[in-house]
Amino acid sequence: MFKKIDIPAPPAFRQYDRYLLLNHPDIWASRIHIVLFYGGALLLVVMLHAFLRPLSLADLPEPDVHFFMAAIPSLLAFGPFAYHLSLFSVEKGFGFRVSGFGLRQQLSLAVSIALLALIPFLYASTISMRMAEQVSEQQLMHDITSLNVGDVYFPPYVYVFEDYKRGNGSYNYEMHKYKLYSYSPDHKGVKMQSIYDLKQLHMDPDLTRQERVGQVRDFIRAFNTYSDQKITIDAETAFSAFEAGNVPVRNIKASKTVIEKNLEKIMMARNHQYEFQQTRSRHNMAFFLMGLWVVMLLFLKMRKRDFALGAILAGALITIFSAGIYSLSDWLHIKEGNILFPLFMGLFVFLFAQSFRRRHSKFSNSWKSITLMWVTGMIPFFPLVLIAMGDYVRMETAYTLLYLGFALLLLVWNVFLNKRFTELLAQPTEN
Amino acid sequence: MNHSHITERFAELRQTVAEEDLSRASRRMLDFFMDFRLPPKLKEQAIMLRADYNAFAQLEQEAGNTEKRELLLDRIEELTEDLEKYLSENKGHQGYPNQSSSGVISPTEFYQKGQNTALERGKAVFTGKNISKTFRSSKFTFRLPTLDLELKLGEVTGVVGENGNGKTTLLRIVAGDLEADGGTLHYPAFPAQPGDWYRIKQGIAFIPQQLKSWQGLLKENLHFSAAIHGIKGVENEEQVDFIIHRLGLSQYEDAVWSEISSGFKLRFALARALVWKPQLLIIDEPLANLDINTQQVFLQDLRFLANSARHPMAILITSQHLHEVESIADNIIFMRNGEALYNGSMREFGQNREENLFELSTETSKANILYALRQIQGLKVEDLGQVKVIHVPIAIGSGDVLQALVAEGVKVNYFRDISTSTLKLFRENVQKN
Repeated sequence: MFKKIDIPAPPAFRQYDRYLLLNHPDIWASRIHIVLFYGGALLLVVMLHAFLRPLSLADLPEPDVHFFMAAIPSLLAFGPFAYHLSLFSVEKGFGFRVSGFGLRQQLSLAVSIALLALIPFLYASTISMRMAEQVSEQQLMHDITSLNVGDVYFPPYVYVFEDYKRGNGSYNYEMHKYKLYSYSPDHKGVKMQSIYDLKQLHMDPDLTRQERVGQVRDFIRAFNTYSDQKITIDAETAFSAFEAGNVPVRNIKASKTVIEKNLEKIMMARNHQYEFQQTRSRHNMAFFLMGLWVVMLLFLKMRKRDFALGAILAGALITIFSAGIYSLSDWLHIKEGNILFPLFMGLFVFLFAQSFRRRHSKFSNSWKSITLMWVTGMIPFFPLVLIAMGDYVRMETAYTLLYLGFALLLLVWNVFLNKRFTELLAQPTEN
Repeated sequence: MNHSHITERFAELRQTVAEEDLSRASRRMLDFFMDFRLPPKLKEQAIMLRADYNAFAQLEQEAGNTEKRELLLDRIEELTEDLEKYLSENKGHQGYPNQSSSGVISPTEFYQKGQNTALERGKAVFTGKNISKTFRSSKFTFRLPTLDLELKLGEVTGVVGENGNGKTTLLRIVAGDLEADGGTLHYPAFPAQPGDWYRIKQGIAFIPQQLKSWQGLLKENLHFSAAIHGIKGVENEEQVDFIIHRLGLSQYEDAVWSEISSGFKLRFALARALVWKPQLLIIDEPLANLDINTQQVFLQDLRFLANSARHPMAILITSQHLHEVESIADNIIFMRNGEALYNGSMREFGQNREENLFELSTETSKANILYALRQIQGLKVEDLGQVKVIHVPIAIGSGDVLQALVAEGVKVNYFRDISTSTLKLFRENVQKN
């Protein structure tokens, strides 16, 4: 297969490819060895990139964005994989005599999909991990304090500075404003820098001039660490200007935004708060991958024309089904959950019965195949619909029920559906 | 299977070599080795010889090369002698050494204990009774003649007839592609329950007229097809090598579907079907895309492969090329106007005829032909346009007729005895129309 498309591959891999072709044609046709080899190579490349790319605290990457960026080559790789998988679709083109083919096909497909999904996840996780370890917890807190204190000397907005200069009369009011400009994103789980602490740091009459210059120095260092713009003057010059009533350094809003963003990224990385790391996202991704797995199995078991038609009509069916539930719910003044179950069951039974039509015309065979495809798609939702009939279902419960649904599908597929789809492919037609 | 069969086959091989027909000799040599599992060294030589012949044949088409031809002939004669020596040396004790040490097995033992003991020539693979099919539409109704059909291992059955008489329909029914309206279909050779089409189809190789394109390298497809049918490892490599060289496909083994001609597509389709040794091979109109020379070789190959001592198979073939198909068929079905005008043994066709029929192409008029053959009692000549059909009493042979025509100065462009050919049914139809 490599000769024509001329993909680089080591001789050992070509030998292994040939070995599989001659001895394990079902595994060869599943293309799992190619996915493992090239997917593994891709994983290695992106992981090397994730580990070796330079990270600057002044310009930290966005792991969620990188997750999607790394998902692109995975998705692009999935296209040729699915295409090649269909080329040697055994039941459609060759017939087979290898026992256990169905299970091996399912397993190979699952491993291939999991590997391709792993690439963006591991890439983004690695970047996130490195971001979290760029600076220690102690250093981070110290830097945040320095930046907050620096805001007192060099406030980002002119009116704040002017307010500050007006004296003690409005001091408490002004200090209240500091909270708004605080670098401590308490909502991200970091202990808030209290206004009182700031006040202590700034107004402490016991602070010597040298100590105050030290505060300014710490601020400039922290600012230069986390900002894309740099303060070039030294702390002494800056503080002298401050004493003279000038503002030599304007902590402009843009820089402050960048600093805040970088600090936020670090804290999110520390607390695994990126979107791809959320439990909800992980569940959704798992359902997406399981759905993809089922779609691929159907794709391999159906004629391409039937599959395409079934997929398009499924969209229309879902829309009609949803609209039907809402309309009936309004009309009958019954809870949607109570409508959902009978409608779902009715549709399920009807479609399942359709897949056993006695006629064998080309149209009938296509229809049987398509209805069985829809039945397959409905099985994972079976437990959820069953429970939803009774009461509101919490999200965690819904996840569990969906996993249960997929497990049920796996069982039904191997006991019945796999064989039934094969029978439909082999069935002679009337015309 | 016994030693006399091997001797008989070897005699045929020797005869072919003596005739200096390199193409046929190299093919039959390979068949011999595949059928009887002889020493691997000799087998390798046979494969190499066939590969070299294929290369030579390709070269010969471009420019004649008699020197190379002589060389190949010497090699094949030498191999035949080696084979003869081996056969005579091993005749005494059960024929040949055991396979355990050298990978060689005695033919007798092979057929007693080997993997294909079930493949007995003459065993029915398909039996159909009262098969019928009707297609109805608003504009026309098509009815397949109700017929019985039995396909046996080692036999070739030809389905002939005009267009639109149901040849392809019959093939599709037997292949499990189309559902019959009536009758019963049995596949006694396959371990499948009636109606378990998936299992039944695993034993059938069906090559439709419109071939679906292949994906990937052609040779890869052959390996895959063999492997998926349980032929694995070294045996897979051997079998694919055999079929590639046997059918003269080596020059295109690394090509893809779009790179080869229609004729080679058909030959590759045949290779993919044969590589896993099916018991029932069904081919729809294979000759349509082949040139005359290739048609002969193709049909000859079908005949030889059907007759294989190791893997005999039943072949069902349709074609418009009556004469060519008849030359290899054991049984023939002639369809016309919703009827099976003949459905039986090719050998028996025309045995009870009352007259002989000769097809003639000449510029001479019907009247002059009648005059030239005036001595023959009961003579009848039909002018069908491009050809004329001469009816004579059964006692008059083709030689008598041809001699009389030549003696009278009739210029004969083409002459064929169709007394025992279904072609006469065709001609009768033309006459009626």
